[in-house]
Amino acid sequence: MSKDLQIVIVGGGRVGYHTAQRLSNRGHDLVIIEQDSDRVQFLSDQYIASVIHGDGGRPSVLREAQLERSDVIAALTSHGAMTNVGICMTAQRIAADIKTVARIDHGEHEEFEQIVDAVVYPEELAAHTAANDIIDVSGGGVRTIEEVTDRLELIEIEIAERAPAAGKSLDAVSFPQGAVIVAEQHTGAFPGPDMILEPGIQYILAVQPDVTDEVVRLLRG
Amino acid sequence: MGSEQDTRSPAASLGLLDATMVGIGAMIGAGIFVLTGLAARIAGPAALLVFVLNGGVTLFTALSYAELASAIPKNGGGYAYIRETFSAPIAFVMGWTRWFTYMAAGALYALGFSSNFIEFIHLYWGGLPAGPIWQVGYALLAVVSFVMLNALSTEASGGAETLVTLVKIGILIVFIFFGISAVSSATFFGIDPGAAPTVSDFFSKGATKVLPAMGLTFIAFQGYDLIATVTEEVENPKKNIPRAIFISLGVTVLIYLLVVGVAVGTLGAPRLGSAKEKAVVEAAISFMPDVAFFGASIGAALIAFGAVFSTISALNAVVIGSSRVAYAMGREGQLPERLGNIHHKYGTPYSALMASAAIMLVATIVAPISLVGNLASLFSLLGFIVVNLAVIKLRRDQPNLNRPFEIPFYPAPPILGCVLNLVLAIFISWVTWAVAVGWLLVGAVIYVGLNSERTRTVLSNTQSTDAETTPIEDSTMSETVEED
Repeated sequence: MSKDLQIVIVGGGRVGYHTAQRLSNRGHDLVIIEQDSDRVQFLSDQYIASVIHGDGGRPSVLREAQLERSDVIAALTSHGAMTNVGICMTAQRIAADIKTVARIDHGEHEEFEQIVDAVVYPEELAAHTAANDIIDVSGGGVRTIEEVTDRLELIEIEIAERAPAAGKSLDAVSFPQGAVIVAEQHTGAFPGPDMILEPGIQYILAVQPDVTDEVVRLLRG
Repeated sequence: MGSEQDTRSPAASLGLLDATMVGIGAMIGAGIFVLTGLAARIAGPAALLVFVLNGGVTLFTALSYAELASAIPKNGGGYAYIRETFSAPIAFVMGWTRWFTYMAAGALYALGFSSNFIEFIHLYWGGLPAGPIWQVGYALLAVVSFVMLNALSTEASGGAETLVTLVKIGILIVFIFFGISAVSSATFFGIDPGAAPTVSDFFSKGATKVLPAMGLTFIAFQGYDLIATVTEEVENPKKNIPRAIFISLGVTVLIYLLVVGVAVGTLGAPRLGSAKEKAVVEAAISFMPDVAFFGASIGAALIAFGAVFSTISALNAVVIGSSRVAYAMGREGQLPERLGNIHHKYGTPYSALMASAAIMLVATIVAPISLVGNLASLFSLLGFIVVNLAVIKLRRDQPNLNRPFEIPFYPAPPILGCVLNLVLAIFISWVTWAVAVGWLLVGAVIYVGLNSERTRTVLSNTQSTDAETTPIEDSTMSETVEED
């Protein structure tokens, strides 16, 4: 088995390019398929991937990327979910074993996850980062670490001075169903029933989105 | 998150000058000191023509390298391009022969180093033990030192290369400067002073000897493969890599022409031939101004130093080159995976280096210098044929691949490259071919061994087979492995 992955990226726009750059930094071998000739020039100047100039929606162009010997194809064009999913399906017709990742432009992951191996929704990821940064710069004390699934996220909360739960021990505070303190941020200590929720200390919580607001009110006031 | 103008990674640290120097350094390095005598012995004064024609032949392959390097952004030289273009077994053969080329060149340069080293020290101190066994001993010591240096630190390569190469060129310019006025046409053609030289004097050994001499000395012009092993570190690679390839080739041919011309014109082909890998130093001793410097002629000492310095830096370059090929093959799963690992502490491709070193040491001990040179040249020629074929295949398979540099007058240059390289390869002795075939058979055993083991693992995991169908039976098997 080869240690470095062979990856084909369709669409060398911002998403495709930044993805390629990260993968190239990790030492993987990349081919980018791009339609626009100016963009092809730009990508070729970066010298991180072989660039095929053509329409990735066409099987003949996809074949040039040597799908049979590639591990993954990521369709990251900005032409919408249907285009990207279509490219992935075509790729799989050419090389049955290839893994597929499609960029989508709306939130309905599950629909497509039956067809492709994974979906990315760049706008959602950007919104996630933006929301965190907005809270962060305004000293909000709550930060989403990761959305594990649609129904569970990991968040980091700093206990506010005058929050209802500040200074109380854990067994004295009643958390809503669907929220649990995982660890104290700095020490990494796991909570016990007598742990005091110190103001100014950050805790990591696993929370279901529908109770997030309740948890925030308890710990931030 | 950075802007789109982020610097590329690994850091693009080599400018056009540096990249050119990597190529010149590899081609001018030891070849000129080690091979001039060999060429003169076989072809007589026509040695001059040998180097010019070799430069011409290699130009076609250089064009192919330029096109591939500009389109495929990968370190690893010829092997990486073949891996991209051909099925796994062919890529294996390419890697396996390139690996050997570097190791054979390493042995050649190590032996060239030790005879010039003895010559240099003897200028000052006659007491240094010499003799065949000592000579091999010094060669081994040189190999071991440079392997250790490269095993313990990645810093040994890189930056200093440009300076080292400039020093080498500087010393050769001194040689040309003093030598050119001492050149006599009588010495050059090996005729009585005053007699008019004829064409047959130029081809004193016969015109047919030019081809075998070309085959033998072809290794001198394989340096641009080394440029291709560092392409990801070159600034503005799209423009600079093709330029670096052509400039380094042009400068190299020019310097060879002048140095070989001066050497033949001052010492004469027969004496050059018998001086073998010390030929250039012997020529320098004959004409350099006899200014004493610590008891020896400074001119001769300078050229002898140049020979020692050049062979040693070329040795360093091929130690790095050979380990990079073995490392790349290890990473691709074409050699045992261990070879594709870096050392947990030193960060160097340690196993690849050690494997290369072991074979280089054996080659240094057992192989006579002309056989080693022949082998390296033969594998270079065969490897270059495959590179030319890769250009043709890639144009057919991937017509839309962006090619910042396109070979002009395609398809003539790659076809000519194939044909001319093949002609030269045919003139290499059958003994060399036999050893070469032996090495390929060893490779075949390793390849089949590695792949049958892995194929079993794959089958037991009930993986499906590969979609690619290749006429070669072997390749379906190996492609299955890739899917694991």
